Amino acid sequence: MFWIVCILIFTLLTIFIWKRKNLTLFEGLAIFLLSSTINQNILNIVTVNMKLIRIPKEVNEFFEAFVYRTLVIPLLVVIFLDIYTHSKTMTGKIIVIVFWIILLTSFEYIVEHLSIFHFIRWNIWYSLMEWLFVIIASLLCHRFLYYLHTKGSR
Amino acid sequence: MPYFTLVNFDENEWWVIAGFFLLLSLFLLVPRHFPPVLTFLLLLFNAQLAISVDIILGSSFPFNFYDALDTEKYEFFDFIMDSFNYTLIGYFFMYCYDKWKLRRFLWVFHFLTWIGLSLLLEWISHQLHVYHYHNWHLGYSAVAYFFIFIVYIIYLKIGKLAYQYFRETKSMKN
Repeated sequence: MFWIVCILIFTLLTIFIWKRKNLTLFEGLAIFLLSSTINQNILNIVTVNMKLIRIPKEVNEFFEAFVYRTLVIPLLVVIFLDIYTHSKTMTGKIIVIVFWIILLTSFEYIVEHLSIFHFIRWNIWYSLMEWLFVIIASLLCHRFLYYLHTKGSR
Repeated sequence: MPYFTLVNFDENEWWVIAGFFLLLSLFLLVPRHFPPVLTFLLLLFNAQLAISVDIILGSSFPFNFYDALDTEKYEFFDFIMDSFNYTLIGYFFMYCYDKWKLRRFLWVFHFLTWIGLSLLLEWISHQLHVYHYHNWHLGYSAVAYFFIFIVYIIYLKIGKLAYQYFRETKSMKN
């Protein structure tokens, strides 16, 4: 399973580095870090506090789940933002958002099927809300970067 | 099914709040050194590192070397500590490192001073029951801080390079 996660990371990195259309590495890094930080906070809340998802306590399985949440999902969010900023029409942007929320949710269920996570009282609506939140946060962060770059001062 | 837990409001929470306001005041008071957008990226780097280290070492998954604050759960003040306090400490390390551009002996002295300062803050935190160690002690923290400060330096270099490229290539539309 570890190799699946590694291949996934390698593929996503290659896609972003070679196929990116709009985002610079700086923007990609910022979105990646924001998404990773949000993901880890959510992971802590839903696993430790709310016990909606269980992560295996074995070291290997834990690291698969950890790497999936802190590297794979943020890379997917960065690729989302690259495609989102490339699409010119409002319809195109909405289609990209909806597609990506469905993609991230599907990934979560595939990962659960591969036993990286175990859902306890989790349901699909939580996934949809979570990814909608992450995507909105990444869009706002991207706007904020430009605000800081053009006008912002501390 | 609480999102965040808060068991007692005692000395450990007050320590986190005092640290937060002190660090935030310093952040607002010190002269600006990095461009705002780079500052934002560096803060994101530090927040991500702080929460990653906390999840790997401190959460109740495989290792559980320590619990922070009153329970093993993820408390609201855990979030404040990871997202602001540690983030700002890392920022000040990067700030001093980049502003003074120290070399050789002074560089080593600066590096060791930050490790010492972090250990002192952690020792005070431990005395105030912010941390409850399980098979962990300050010696391990010293090693952890050594690697964390190295990672901060690497982050700073990556951030500055990425910013330079961003500034040169990105037009101001959007």
